[in-house]
Amino acid sequence: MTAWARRTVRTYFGNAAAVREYRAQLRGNRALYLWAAYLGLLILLGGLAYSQIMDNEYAQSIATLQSELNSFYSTIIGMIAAVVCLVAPALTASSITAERQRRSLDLVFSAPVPPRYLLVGKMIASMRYLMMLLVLALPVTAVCVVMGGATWADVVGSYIVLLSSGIVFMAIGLAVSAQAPTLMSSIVNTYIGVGAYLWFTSIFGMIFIASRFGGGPLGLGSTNEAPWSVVLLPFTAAYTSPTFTIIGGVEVPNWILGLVFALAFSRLLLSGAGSALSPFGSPETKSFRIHGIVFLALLGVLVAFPLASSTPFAMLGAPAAGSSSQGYTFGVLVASVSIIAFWLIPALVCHAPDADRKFRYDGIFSLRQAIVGSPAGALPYLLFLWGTVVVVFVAVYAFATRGMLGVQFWQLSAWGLGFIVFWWGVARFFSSMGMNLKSARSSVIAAGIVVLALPLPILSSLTFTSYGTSSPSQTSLWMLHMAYPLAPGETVYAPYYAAFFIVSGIALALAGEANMKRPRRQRRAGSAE
Amino acid sequence: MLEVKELWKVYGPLTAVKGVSFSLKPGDIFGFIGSNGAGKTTTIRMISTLLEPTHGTATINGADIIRDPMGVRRQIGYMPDFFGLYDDVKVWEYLDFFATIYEVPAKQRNSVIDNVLELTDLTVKRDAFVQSLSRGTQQRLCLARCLVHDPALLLLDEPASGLDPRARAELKELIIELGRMGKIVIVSSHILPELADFCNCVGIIERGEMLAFGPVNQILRQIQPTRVIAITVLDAAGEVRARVADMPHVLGAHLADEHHLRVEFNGDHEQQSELLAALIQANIKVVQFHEEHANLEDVFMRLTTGAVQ
Repeated sequence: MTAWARRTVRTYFGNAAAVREYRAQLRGNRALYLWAAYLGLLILLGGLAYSQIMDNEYAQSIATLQSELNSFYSTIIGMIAAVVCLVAPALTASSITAERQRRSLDLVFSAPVPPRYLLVGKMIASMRYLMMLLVLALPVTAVCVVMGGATWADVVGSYIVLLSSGIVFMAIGLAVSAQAPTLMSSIVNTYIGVGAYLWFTSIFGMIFIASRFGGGPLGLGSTNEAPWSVVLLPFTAAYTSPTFTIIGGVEVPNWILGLVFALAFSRLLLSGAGSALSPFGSPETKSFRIHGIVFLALLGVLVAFPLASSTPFAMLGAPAAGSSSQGYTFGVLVASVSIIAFWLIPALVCHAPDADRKFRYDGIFSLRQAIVGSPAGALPYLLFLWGTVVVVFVAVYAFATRGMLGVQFWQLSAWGLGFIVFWWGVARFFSSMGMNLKSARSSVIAAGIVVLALPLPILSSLTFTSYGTSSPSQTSLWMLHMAYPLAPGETVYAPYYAAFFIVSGIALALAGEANMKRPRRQRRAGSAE
Repeated sequence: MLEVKELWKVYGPLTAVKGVSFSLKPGDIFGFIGSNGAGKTTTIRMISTLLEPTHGTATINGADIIRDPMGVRRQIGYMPDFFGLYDDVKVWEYLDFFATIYEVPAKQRNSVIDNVLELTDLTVKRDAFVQSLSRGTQQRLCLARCLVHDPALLLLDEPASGLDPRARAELKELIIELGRMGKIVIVSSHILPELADFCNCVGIIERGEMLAFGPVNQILRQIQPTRVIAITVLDAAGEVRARVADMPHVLGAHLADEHHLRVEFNGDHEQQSELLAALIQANIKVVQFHEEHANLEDVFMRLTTGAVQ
């Protein structure tokens, strides 16, 4: 315990990597010029936004003026959010790749420090820089407070939402740069990752904004209760930071839940980066895998609890809390998690001879290897992830409603299990064909695109009907059809699909095993044919 | 005490290191010799815990590279065959960074930095930026970095590559001094004559296999168990050879060319002088008479085939 505390203190306080990075960031006048330019630009854009709003000749009444000032405040926060989205990833996007190219990583890792030390150091230095940018923007946001467009509480909430997003972006940058071979690929992939995150979170944020200002079907304008996920989008921080989620009868500000999510997610990403920088069987890989399960459980609670106990998720099309059809909603969520897990399968399952022994063939199924991180442990680990989501949903639902999720939940969960086992089998089969690791992974992704993405438009065009109709058609053949059934009654077929997927997946995996017993040269020849 | 036990490293079909074993005691300066791709760097990286061995292990003062890598890292200073220096960092900041990650107490850090700068003759460069240093100075800074935590074992991978003769001589002096300080020093190098000057122990590796290991003199004796005396005569060497071959302690006499003989001899120095006297008494006109000493280069060329993996 003492050793753990000493290690933790050493990592988070007086971290040498953070000190070195910060010295380099603040060296000379470069930082000063950058900050001056940033502040000048912010003042200029803020001034322009203000003059445009105040020029509005129809803004006569106090209520209208108040609304205009609110929108001025949200414009300022939106501008700072844009800076966070651009600057935060850039602070870390190339940091590990640059060290790898400079070949200084070996010097650090021959010292008695784990990769986490270096990663946390870089994170701390980048976070300090980002906080400096937020503090520099305070005079501009203070103008909004002075004029009455916002309160200090709004500003603090918005800043924490922005900082949370910044933390996630920096962690994405570190995770990508720990894997990327070149600076260019590191930077490009980091911004693709940030873009994907923004796209995903904008679903929640924009629906909230639309319902608030468009007088949407839910009338959320009259209350600030909203799903916590709305705070994940930084651009709408001015609107979403005052929202709250009711947990156990207590109004919990969503920016707190957003911050918890950001810290947990960034920790998961840093664990992933640490695992990428560590050899086979390292504590970092085990930590990453355990973090994955814990994070999924935490996310499951954060999603399931408000969904089961409160109404705002209804605006996302979910049935009201406690209704019998919630089993269907939770089931679709489990199926969605299984589909997202597809992107993990090439990385977890594919095997090929490699120098670090991380992905070398070591059998088909081993519970012990689930946390160690070798290919034999891939299926047990995927089953752990699937099981975690199912158990958390069942437990949270039972806790919140004192009831049980309906049969549709189990039908769709079974489909999710089948989906995972099928793609596990595909990945095992491709890996057995004597390809290198990259080719095996690419083949799985290519097969995924062919089977999951392409059939829908083709099958729809064959039947002259779109997926939007629930009548039976060739679209029923689409693999994902059952994950998003168009009528709740369709889920009755899900277990049959699941059984088919599981049998096919196991058959493919066993075919792969038989293939592995042949000499490598023969396997290559077979794959060439 | 460093003990390397049966280290193996296998990369798929390629075996980079095949069961390398040796042990060194404090004060030993070990020259690790091998062609490019022979397995020197792989072995050094395994000992420095940067690479996991496929089989085997190594212990440094009881700390095992597999079971206690952090314990090993506290006791080693690893200097790779590249600099790995940071831009925008001053010399003292660079050393301060490594002193911190090597857990040198904050109160002692400044004095430690001053000491290693003095030892490596870099005191005047304390406030210089590392990217502004010459190659030789950067190399010394890398060595200074390895010393901030006073390690028991120094792993120096090609430390003299790319250095000019003066910088090389300075580095050699520094390594000798470190050996005197009781540190175990492992130096891998291609420059064999220099290694012979300051290493008291060498190992020759080829295609991952340790072909020879031990003190320099012992290895020289292994490849040349008898002494070889080169004799130059005015007469035809062919006529002289038979007479020399019959002399005491002479195991064999070989014709090098028309006037040169190479004599395998198992006597001591006194008997060697008696051989010379006997030659003169036999009216053989001796122009030159000297013992041929084998060097590391001869050993290396004799033991290795030049094959790479």
